[in-house]
Amino acid sequence: MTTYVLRRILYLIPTFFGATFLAFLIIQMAPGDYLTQLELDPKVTPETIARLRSQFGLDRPVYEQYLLWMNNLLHLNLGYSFAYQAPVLEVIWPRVVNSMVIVIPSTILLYLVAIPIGVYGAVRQYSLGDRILSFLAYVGLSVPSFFLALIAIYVLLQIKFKTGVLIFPVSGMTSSGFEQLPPLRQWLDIAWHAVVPILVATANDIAGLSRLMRGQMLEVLGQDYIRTARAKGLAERVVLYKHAFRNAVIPFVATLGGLLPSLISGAGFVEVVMAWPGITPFFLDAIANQDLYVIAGFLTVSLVLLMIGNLISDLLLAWVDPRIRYE
Amino acid sequence: MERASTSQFAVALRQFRKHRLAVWGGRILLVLYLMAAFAGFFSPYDPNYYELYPPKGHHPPTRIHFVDPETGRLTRPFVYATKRSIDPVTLQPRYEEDPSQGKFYVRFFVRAPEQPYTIFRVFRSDLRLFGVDPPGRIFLMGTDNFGRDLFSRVVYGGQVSLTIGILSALVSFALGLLLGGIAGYFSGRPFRLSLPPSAWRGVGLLLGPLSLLLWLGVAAAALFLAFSFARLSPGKDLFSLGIDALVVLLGVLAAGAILYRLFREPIRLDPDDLIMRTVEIIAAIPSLFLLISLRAVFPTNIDPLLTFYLVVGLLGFIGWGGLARVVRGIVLSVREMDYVQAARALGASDGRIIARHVLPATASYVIVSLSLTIPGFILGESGLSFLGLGVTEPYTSWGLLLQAAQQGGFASFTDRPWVLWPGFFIFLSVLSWNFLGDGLRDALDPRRRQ
Repeated sequence: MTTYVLRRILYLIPTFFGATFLAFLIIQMAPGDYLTQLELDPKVTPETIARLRSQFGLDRPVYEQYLLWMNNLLHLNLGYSFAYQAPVLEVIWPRVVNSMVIVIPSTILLYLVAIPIGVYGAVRQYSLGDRILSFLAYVGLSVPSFFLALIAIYVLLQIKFKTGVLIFPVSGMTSSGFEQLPPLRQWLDIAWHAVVPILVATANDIAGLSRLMRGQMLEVLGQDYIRTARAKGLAERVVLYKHAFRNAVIPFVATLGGLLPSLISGAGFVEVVMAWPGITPFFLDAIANQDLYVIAGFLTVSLVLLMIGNLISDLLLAWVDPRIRYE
Repeated sequence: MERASTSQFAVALRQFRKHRLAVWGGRILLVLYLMAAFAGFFSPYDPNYYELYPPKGHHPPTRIHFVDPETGRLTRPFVYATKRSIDPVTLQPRYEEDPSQGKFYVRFFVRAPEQPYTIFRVFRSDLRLFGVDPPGRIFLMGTDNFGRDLFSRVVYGGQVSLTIGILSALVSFALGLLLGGIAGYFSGRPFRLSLPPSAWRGVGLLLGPLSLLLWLGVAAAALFLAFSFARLSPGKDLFSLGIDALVVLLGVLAAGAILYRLFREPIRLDPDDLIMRTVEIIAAIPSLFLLISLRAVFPTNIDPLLTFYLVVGLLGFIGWGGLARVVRGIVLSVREMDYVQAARALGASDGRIIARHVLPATASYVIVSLSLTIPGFILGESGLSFLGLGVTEPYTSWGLLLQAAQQGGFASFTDRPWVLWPGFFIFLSVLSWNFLGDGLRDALDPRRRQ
């Protein structure tokens, strides 16, 4: 086991260098750099541009920039944001936290909804309830999240026009006058703003997870030991939850590690449409500005989390499933 | 000899028909693709046509009347011309029906010589499915800010949205099948990438020195990078010096290992390792961010047609990894089957084994996952276009139309809800593809048959 873990970690090293270099290369391949837009400004003299360029290290060859950045990275320093004039981690972290306000509840909600739907679909296969639920899951899968967000905004605003009541806010993370609220009210205010984005962010993923659960459960229910359990007269509830469900849920343990990088990679389009100050709009801005180290730093963090997550997945899997052995 | 049993295809077809949602998905897709293929015929106006005077910007969907207001009886459907005024409060245009100009009956199979179109860029025509006589206008889904007919734009946008889905799926499948196939088939049979001097004979006399030079270059590059790292390192404390020493050591070790290996035995590279590591690297970067970053590599103001192919290529490039992984697994298991061993024993070449035995084994998986990845690509394109990074004018796609819908803030679609129509088309096509793929999977997988 220890050798397996060590070998996995050794394998991570070339992947890490490859992916960081790829990320760095992609950003460098984009035409121009952070200062290109500044050059268009007639008030900024070419001397200033040249000074800034050497200050930011943008006048060095690409490999030198990469090596310097890698050097900083090995010192656990993600670099410096051009646009915000601050260390990357300081700039990214608040945005990531904002995203987590959506991502964490949405992930919990996802598992709470999708797994029961999958189990129900397997136990009552082809019943009316199964058909309706899987149809709805497919609807959720097929709606582009930005469209769902637009529809939600439209419906909420129409309700507001008709009744004068805004059930849930449609944009942003805080109300005006947020600063003056007592701490508890501030929390409530953010939670109130987060409801719609959380629901929209969850809708897309329910289908995939519940279909997986349903398929797993069906497969396990067809096994001989389930027939044995029924034959020896166990209550159906015990058969389902002690024998079938516990085995069917094993593959999901493998997906838990994958949640780690998704924690910081944000809720996607919902954040853009609903003006949530999360990581997605921030990252889009950084790309538009060619804020080199913000992009590279963020990609690196999610990369490291992904690699750790995959490792955790495998270890968890070996832990819960005694049939799996790593040599 | 006549077989009594039904063919594999007939069994699959019967199974497919049982999945009613899949059949409906197929029908809806047929309609959508026909509309996209014959966009000129199905759309009443040219998608880029608008009137300067009187302007028709933000026109709501035209109301079609079925009851004659004078007699109160059912009549042929007709529309009224509209009169434009500006709302004094919101300063937005308002359109009111103007019965004084008379009724404009909805006519079918009308000729519109002033707005000809071409089908498949070859056949010129001006026959349109329906229309009204000018100056009457029929806007089934209203107009955009310029006054262009949104229904026509949705029909034409389908051309881009629907074909990008299929094209990028094909690109990613070509890549996934090829690389996954190579990885699986040649796994454990590494390619030789260098020749030790003792083996320089025949063709090796040319390739040997070349590969030697190449690998010497690689070793030199490793050394150079390691020493540059130390040279550039700004830190002078013990920890920094330790890291520098470690990196230099790594570089020297890597270069030394290459040189040592180069003169003793060939350097071998398992294509399986190479390809699967690449898949891992691509999968390691969140796909939305990778897509956007890659899009940023290319300028946004390039030729629209080029942008179209760029989006196809990018989506295809993002998507091939998962498929390659599965194809590799299938090929790895097929490779060990008795019939493949038998073919090899009979002296079949690699190419023949791949074409006749290995590829057919992946066919049903490929068909199913093709139909299940297309909706993902349609969503990907619409997302990219929605962010303004996808296709550009004069082409249009459903995502781009939706972007226009929300560009003017919330008021732009709460006052004019018809601009949300393109979203329903994305939804409908993705849903239909999902159902179709689901039905195909049930039909082609013997274990899922009922």
